[in-house]
Amino acid sequence: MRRFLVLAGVVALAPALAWGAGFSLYEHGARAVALGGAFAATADNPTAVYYNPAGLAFLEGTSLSAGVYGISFDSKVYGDSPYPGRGYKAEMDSRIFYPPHLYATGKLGERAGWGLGVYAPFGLGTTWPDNWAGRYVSRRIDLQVYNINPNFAYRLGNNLAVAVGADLFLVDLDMWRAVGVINPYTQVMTDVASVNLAASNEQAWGWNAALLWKLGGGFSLGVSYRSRVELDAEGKARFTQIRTGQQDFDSIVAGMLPFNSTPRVTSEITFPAESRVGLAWRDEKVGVEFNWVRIGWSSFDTFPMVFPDYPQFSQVRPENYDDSSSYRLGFEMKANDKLAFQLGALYDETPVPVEMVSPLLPDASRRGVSVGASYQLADSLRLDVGFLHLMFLDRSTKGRSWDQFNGTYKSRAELLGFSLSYTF
Amino acid sequence: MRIARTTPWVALALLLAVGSGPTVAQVQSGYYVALGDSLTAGYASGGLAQSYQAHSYPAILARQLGVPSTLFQQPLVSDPGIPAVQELKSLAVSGGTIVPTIAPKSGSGQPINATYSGMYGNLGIPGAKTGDLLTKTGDITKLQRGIIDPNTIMYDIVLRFPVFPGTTTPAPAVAQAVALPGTFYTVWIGNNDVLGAALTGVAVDDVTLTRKEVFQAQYTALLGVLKQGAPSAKMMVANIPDVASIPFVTTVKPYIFGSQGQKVYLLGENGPLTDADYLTLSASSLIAQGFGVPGTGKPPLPEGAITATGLQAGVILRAAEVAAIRVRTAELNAIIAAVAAQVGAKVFDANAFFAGVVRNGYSVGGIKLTPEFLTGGLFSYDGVHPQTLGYAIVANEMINTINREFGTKVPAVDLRPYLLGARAATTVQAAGAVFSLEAYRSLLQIFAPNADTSYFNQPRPAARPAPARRVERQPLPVPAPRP
Repeated sequence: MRRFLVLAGVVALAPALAWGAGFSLYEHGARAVALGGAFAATADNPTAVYYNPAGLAFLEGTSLSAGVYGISFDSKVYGDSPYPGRGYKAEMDSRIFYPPHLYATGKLGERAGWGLGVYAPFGLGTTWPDNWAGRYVSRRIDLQVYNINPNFAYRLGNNLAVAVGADLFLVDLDMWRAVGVINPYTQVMTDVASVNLAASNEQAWGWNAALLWKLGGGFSLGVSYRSRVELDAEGKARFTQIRTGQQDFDSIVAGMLPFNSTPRVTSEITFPAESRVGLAWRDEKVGVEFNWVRIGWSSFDTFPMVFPDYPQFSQVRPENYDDSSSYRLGFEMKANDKLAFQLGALYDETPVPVEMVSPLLPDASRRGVSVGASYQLADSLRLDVGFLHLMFLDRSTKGRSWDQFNGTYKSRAELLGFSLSYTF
Repeated sequence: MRIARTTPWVALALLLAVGSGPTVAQVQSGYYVALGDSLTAGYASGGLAQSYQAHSYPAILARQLGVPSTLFQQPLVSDPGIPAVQELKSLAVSGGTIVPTIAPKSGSGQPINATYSGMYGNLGIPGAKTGDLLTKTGDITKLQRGIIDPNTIMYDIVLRFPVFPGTTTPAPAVAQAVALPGTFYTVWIGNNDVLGAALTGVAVDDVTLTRKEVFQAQYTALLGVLKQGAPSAKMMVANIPDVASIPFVTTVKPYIFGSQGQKVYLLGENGPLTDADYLTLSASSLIAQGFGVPGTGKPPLPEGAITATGLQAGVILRAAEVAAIRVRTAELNAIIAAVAAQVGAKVFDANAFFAGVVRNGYSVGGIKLTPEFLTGGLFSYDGVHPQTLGYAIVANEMINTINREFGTKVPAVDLRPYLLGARAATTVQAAGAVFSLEAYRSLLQIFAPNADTSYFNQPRPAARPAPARRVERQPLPVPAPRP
């Protein structure tokens, strides 16, 4: 009989399960990184599988190449009013990521070559302190994308090669955040649960094509295209209750969130297409290359989180990314037959509109400088080492954050990696 | 200004850089006076209490504007307030639905800033209609003599003295506002010219709705006095939000669920309710006793009416009554806009802001706040007034308007302490009815003092306090206001 005051509001504690973002990684070969990533018109080692697979048609012999990059990424946010407020500061937990790369290449007769690469074209990892003010947006997100990328390259004459390839993306996504509701007893926001969304080994296909043209006079032109990859992901949500101490309220919360099951969650993520054009000049001693990379981020327009069995939790996060460009310049000098040095510089535009700059992905345009060296350890064994320092421009949400979590992010990243190549 | 301490060319450069320097100086760091009603007073959860008043929008504005506390004081009332503010006592779960129990805290507060020798910067008087700011006066000595008169107590607390000390000049709110000419005024009045209709479920001209002709005259007079008394002051007025969208009106549904989960529409005195009708929060305690529920044999829910004895409060807002309230609100808001334009005041469109919140919620830090009762985060336990977080958000919206209209760069107030602030939790104990009768009565005493609630006495008679009574109370020091 006492059914009079239905607290629709407690149903409204349906948490906003908001996450999002993509994050390109370009570092899939030590020498190319040392060249600022400008390698599409050179592509003369096994990392050509990523930077320009048409280069495979010019490689000799059979090669194996493996390497890893250590990425240290730091980000701080300085709050703006009204939330989290001036004077508020939070620092992302320092983490180091180790995206590996692995390549195998070989010949198919005189004119053709093949290559197989495994590398991580996208990845993201942000972890913020447990009780920080942005915990309702994100506490932690880990996105790992591996691309298994076989390619076939064919030489048309002595100076022109083309390539096509397939891209199989294997995606792991893991996200944590706090679920807050207004506690009716205290009238302030209270954490009642944490929620984890996880999907692993989700798969999607794409394709790629490339061209490498040795123009003569030391000049070469490289063009590489990678299609967008549309992923339909399905994962599980796990809710863990945090008790407030108010037993009646806690039992209501317990009835509102599925603490005893792991509901299905589905999403669609579009990884963007990428076009890369490179122009290089080199002689026996020195080489210089410039690359322009255009990434079709505008295809990442929404990030849905759909709970088929709990539609009240479903949400679509608008992303509205913009297409972005990246400019890369590299310089290489051979000291002798065994040793070469590289220098590079780059500028990446952020694709993230100011509204969507968030603790999930505090993205910003960045400048980078790189340095590296290559050394022929033995006739068939070569070591490349590259270091890249990325300076993110300060990124302010200008009071327009979609999450209404405003502030200025200051980020930096250091990348140090190596590749070891064996040719036989 | 500190120009004297700087070289002239620095001062000149500063003036050029600021551009609208005089305006900025008037709005910021000047003498700020807020005129209004309960929303201005920082009234919340059915009471005027220090813990809420400290976060009234005028208090927040004064802090953000940089007005020194020596120039901006409020008529603070110690916790738990006058009337004692409500709290949530329990959240029972019954038949799959949640039944909150809300009742006033025990005890009573008393004025703690009555001896302030200046003029209050916050002249928000809970319950005041527009005309009341022009005429009504208060007398703090009544409280000192132990006289609690619900019809005047808010005026007694806020206005303190019926005539300016040492004179025979009456001291209503508007006169106190210009006694020391302010440099910046905010005026948010008119809410009670329509609110009574929502609280009593009766929309009748001259009783619960102010006629637009009357409002036009009063509002024009009010802004006119301010303009005349402080000709060079800057002024911002706020208009009237939709009182039919507050949780007090929107929370209780016109139906209950039957044993098969089907909707069973409740009965009012004029027949069954429909989806277009609203029940006020005050209906909850009656429905709890079976009133209006088909098959219980209990009387239908009161519609409210004007009878020979006067206004009888009801709990039903029929669709036509809501429409009448909204039409009147729109008419009064048009008057506010027109009169504001005449005197050069800027308008904070509270109606549009609140409508946006009703439509889309209000996002903070990844959380969406809503006008939902108890869990939305914006409204206090009376379902009518904002809680501190709601007031802070209103203040920020006003700051946006101020910055846009006056070219200032007043910083928004940080919402993190309001959203996440750790206030002590109330002890949980089950008791009583839902939105208690006491809570409703105390609301009506301030906001619809003429309403008769005897209908509510049928189930439990003789609960109504006398309109004026003497209570044991520590004598207050005599204030010595210096206008």
